[in-house]
Amino acid sequence: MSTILKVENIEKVYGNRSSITHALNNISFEVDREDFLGIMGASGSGKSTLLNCISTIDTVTAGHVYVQGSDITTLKGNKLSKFRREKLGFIFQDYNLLDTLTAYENISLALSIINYPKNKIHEEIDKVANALNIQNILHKYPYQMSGGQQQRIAAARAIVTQPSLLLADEPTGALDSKSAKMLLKSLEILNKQQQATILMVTHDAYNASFCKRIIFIKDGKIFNELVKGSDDRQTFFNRIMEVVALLGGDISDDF
Amino acid sequence: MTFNLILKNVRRSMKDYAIYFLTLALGVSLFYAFNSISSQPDLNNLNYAMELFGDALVTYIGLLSKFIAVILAFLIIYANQFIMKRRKKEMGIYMSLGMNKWKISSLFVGETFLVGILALMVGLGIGFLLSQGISIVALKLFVGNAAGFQLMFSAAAMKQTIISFALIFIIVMLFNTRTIMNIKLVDLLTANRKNQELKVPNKLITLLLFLLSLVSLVTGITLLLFYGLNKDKMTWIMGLLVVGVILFYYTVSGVIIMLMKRNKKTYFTGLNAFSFRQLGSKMQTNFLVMIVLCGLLFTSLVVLGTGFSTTSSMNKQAKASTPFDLTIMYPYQKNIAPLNRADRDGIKLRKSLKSYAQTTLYKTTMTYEDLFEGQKLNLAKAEQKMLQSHINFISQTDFNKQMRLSGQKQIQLNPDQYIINANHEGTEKNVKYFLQHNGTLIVGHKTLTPVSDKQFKNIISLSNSTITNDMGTVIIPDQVARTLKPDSYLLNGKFPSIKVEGQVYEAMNNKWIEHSLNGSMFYVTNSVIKDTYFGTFGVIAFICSYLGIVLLIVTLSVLSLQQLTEIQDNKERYRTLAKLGADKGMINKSIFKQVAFYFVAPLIMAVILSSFTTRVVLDKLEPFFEISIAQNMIVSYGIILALYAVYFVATYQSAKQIIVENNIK
Repeated sequence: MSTILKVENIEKVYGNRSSITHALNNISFEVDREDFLGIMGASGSGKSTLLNCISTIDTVTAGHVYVQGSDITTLKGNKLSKFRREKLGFIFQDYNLLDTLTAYENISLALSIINYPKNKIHEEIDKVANALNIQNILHKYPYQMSGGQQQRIAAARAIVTQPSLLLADEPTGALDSKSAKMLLKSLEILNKQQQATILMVTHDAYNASFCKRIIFIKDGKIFNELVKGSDDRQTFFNRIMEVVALLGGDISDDF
Repeated sequence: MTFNLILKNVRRSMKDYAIYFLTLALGVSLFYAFNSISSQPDLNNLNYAMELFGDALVTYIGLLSKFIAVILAFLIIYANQFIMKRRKKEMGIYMSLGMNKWKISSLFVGETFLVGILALMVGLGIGFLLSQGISIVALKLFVGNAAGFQLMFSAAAMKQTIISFALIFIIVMLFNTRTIMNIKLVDLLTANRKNQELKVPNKLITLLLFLLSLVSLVTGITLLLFYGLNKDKMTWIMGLLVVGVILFYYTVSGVIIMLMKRNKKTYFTGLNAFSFRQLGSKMQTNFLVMIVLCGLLFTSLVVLGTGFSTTSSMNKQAKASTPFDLTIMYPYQKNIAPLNRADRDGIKLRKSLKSYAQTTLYKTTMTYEDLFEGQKLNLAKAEQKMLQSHINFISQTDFNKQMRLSGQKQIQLNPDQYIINANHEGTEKNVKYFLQHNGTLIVGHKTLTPVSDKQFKNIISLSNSTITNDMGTVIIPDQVARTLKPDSYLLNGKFPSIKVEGQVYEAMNNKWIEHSLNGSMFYVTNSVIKDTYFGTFGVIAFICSYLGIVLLIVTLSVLSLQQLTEIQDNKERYRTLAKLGADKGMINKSIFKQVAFYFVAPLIMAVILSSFTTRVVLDKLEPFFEISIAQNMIVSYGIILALYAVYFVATYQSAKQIIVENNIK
């Protein structure tokens, strides 16, 4: 398996001379093709900062991030935009669909931004819509859909360009449990059938149990790593809960 | 404590207030400048015309300034809403901290008041400077030179400005208070995230309404061109055009999107789908504003077009209708012909004139009433009394002398023939009717017949009321003239230069002013006529142009403000686009398209409608001026385009700035 993402000793420091916060402290890991990596941690643990640094929305203070061998921490301006639209797909917590466009147009926009051949746009959207079971809502506007439907459209938009890496930031954060489950199943399908490489940030153990591998972050450092391996989801979930308990358990030392 | 908060708020939100402040200051300065024009002393002494039109002008300026005040109120309320929108979240925080609505409202009232006072002071300052500039231009235009220019501060204009703007402030404060009172906390805190509800219009209905709008527009324009400014048909025409414009702006975005969607190649290129949808949703929520803007633009185009056409054609006209530099007329006294009288009174008239024609006019008992007996007359009230006056007669030789001097067409009569010279708009038709139907005239026992069935339209003297003023002068053979009693002298002359003309006019005024005032003598020079001419139509045209530019600036400010508000409101959408990987160039292109469309949309209808309307209005004015419409429209459209370009570039640059400010890469 080839390496898609390689994070090497990255650090992120906020603040000034008088008060310094180490949001990320010397983090390194790799993501291989067709991996489904979860990043878990409590609020303020630095997991969102990590995602932002990988997605080039934020810059690192030190260290390097390689996507398919090229160092993205040195990219600037339009090269950044180009990298983002060609290599990355995003799913946000609050969907970020454009409310003036229909679902179909929202998905097609991602393709027209990368100058995808116009006669193939329909075909691509059809394919991804079938996989995510959203054909019957393609003509709707975002405000006519439920949150779960909107998030699945957002997933379709993220994957339709066949990015090297799909980044999901708390994708179920605004969804009810039923919609959340449907969305996670969708991500699982994308990972297994469309060979998408997914990196998902979450603080929810149930969400995380859909991943193949999980990295736990605490106070900007990697705390632990779990691999699902041949376990079923229930077992994996229990293992995650153990680590979470351990994460939380540390807090008791503070009393 | 509240006062401190107000001060801090104003200082902190300077950027938000900048646009509001500018709008307000600009409004105040324009308003003051407009109202202070009439206080420039030299403009008030604008000869006869001002005396005649003075009262009407004061009324017009009063009415127009009220109209401008209403438009400015609209603009200021609009700019104010822009601030309220931007500070929704802040209001929400105050409210969630437990501040009551009255307190918040008084906070905003205080801020508005503070900014208003500042803007009023700055605006009056700018207005003072502006009015000096306008006065100089006006003096140059109307009086011919700005020598009589004085620095003027008009207390009356200031008072009016302050009262009007105080009223506008009160309205703005009421608006704000109402907004705050009606607001819900939850809406305020989530103001940034609220999704816009889009109505999806039925495609068939949209198309039908669009077609209906085109039909009513075309019908309206056709009727307008056919009937002109006919009072009876006006309501119909206006109705059709208004309905057409409303439907047009209601449906046009839908139709464009429908067309664009068919053209998949364009629609799915870059951010086009986004740009078009963005326009669609804007047009849908703002079509009323669009219509108002279109109306404003339309008015300013018509007013500007008319104003400029009138002003620029006046010069040519004034030249053509004043073929002499000097006219002197007074009752006949033996041996005291004008030149002799001037010699006697020590006026160097004979020496100063380059060329002249000294002639005699005759009168019989015949009045104009006799000439037009049994005809329907179309005369202004002031002209009615002319009917009782006696008709002037002039001999063929004398007439030809005058024509030779001015280079106009001469005449040849048989001993029993006559012709009438008439160029007064009100009586021209009646003279023609007389020549064609009755025809014969008995002058001093001799019966004369017309040499032609059309009257002469030459100019035989200068006059100070309207330029083409001859209600009818009968030209008769010399033999017949000799039998009549001389009534008055008519001297026309030409000067070698304007300087000499001015010197002679001054000398005449020194000696003859009393005779002129008591009506026993009439003398006038070309320059005086031109002043008069500019004094009447010039002032109107000038006010038209000024009003037009004010309306245009107001419209452009609203357009610009609206664009910036929209982009500010939609910054989340642009951020999403950036996250999807749209680069700076793509986003700028999309913004450019949107701003351009928004600027051009109201202009399209306004240009189409105004070009027809201006034509019709100018047709109405054409008896006064021979106006080359096309050429003059280009000038006014040029000015409009220049202003448009400035505002467009400024808006586009600020829009890009918003994107940069919000770190949307």
